[in-house]
Amino acid sequence: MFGEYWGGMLTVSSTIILTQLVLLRLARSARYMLSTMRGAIPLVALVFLLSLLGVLESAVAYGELLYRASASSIRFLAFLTSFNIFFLTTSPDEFGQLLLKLRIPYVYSFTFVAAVRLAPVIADEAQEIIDAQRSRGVEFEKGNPLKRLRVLVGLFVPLLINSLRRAYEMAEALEVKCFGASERRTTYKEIRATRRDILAAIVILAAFTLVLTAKSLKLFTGLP
Amino acid sequence: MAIEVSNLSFRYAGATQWALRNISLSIEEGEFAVFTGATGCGKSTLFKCLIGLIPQMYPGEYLGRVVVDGLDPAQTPVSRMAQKVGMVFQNPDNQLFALTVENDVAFALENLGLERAEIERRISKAFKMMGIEDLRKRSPFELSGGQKQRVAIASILALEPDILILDEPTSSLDGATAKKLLEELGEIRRREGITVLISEHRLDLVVREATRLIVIEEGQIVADGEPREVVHDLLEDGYEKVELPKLSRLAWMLGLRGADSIPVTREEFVERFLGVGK
Repeated sequence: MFGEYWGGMLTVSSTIILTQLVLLRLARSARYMLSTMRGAIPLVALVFLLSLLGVLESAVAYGELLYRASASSIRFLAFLTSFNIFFLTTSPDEFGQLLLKLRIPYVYSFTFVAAVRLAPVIADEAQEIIDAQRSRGVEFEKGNPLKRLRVLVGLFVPLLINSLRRAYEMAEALEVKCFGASERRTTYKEIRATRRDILAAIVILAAFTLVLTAKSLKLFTGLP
Repeated sequence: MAIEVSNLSFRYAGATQWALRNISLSIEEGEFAVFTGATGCGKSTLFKCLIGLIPQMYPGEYLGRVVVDGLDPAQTPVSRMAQKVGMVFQNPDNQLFALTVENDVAFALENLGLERAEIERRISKAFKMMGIEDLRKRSPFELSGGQKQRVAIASILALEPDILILDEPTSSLDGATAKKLLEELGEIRRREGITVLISEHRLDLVVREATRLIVIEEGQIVADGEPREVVHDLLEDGYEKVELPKLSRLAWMLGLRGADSIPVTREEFVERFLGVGK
């Protein structure tokens, strides 16, 4: 009863995990990855439980139920790890340059990089406002949801005003740094595909083909 | 003449008060001009006029004429002005856009479309000038306030401007860090021969480097001249609106007066003080 399902699932999951392990070796960031993945465990558990509940009504066999829940968890995990690998191995600067190489106008890739650059600054600022409001007796954690929502106004309004002011200052700084002065902007650092990048691409392509072939050969029985 | 301002007045669109009133000022090449005055007195507005952010980015009523390095900032694109006049703002966080220090210093040069070899040459020089070669690969958000400000200045020095304008660059720095930075800016001015304009409240820290001291109050120049003379005149008038060097004030209280002999630095004070006993 179990075998027909598990066989298929193990193929998929092992392909994903194997691919990712190889990629991690290439990226040399396995340890970071594991630490961020630890935080995802509750989410994966939630997905597992939710998918258990979701199929409960349809009165399917116990084995298939378990199989489907595991399948969605693994799918979710694969999704998370893929994003994780992308952001662990690709700095936003590099991503911006990639966009540039794909002939996407610089304004867009700059916007992306600047947003990433500003995230910690704005987070610091939010923390400062929270501290300032707390020292005036504002309680962010207390009260019913409606009250909490109202208290948050005291955080978002100053944050918004500060951000507007910051936008002006940034615009000035961009002006004096000759933003958009030249039609043909050059880049100081150029991204080049190294041997490791090519190897990574080959591994991904191989795994992808493997899964596709397996699917067309109907190796995954019972896959929803 | 590096900068020539004549009868400049400016009022921001929608404001009732004039931010600058009839400012006339000329600054020669190689000077280290310190601008001081209460917050909101118009120092930043004046600086923005010198690079053309006013009136190009901020509309308003603009009277008078400004000539900087032979160019009219009201008519010349800011990106062209910026290659002659470098401007560093108060808050380094809003001036650094890239995710590594190196890319940040290269940013303006990339915008100009310079060749990679030229960018490399210029940023290496800028890093050396600010003494931050070891920060090249770091990320701007893990740096201290003083380091960030150095990166911000290096990113402007990489443009190789003739004139460097710094708008309260030390406002978020502690006294010792600020003093060191200001002294190094004085050193860069002497070595590279660039003109430096800086606004600073703590005159104690900067008076040693200054060749010019300009006091602004409510959009008007109330004192302008050689630092020692300005300090003397302000003490004589009992002017309390700027933070004069403490030792000058002390010397004044001790009766060590005189337009060409009032001490402005520690060494001068000691010399003058011991000299009295002899």
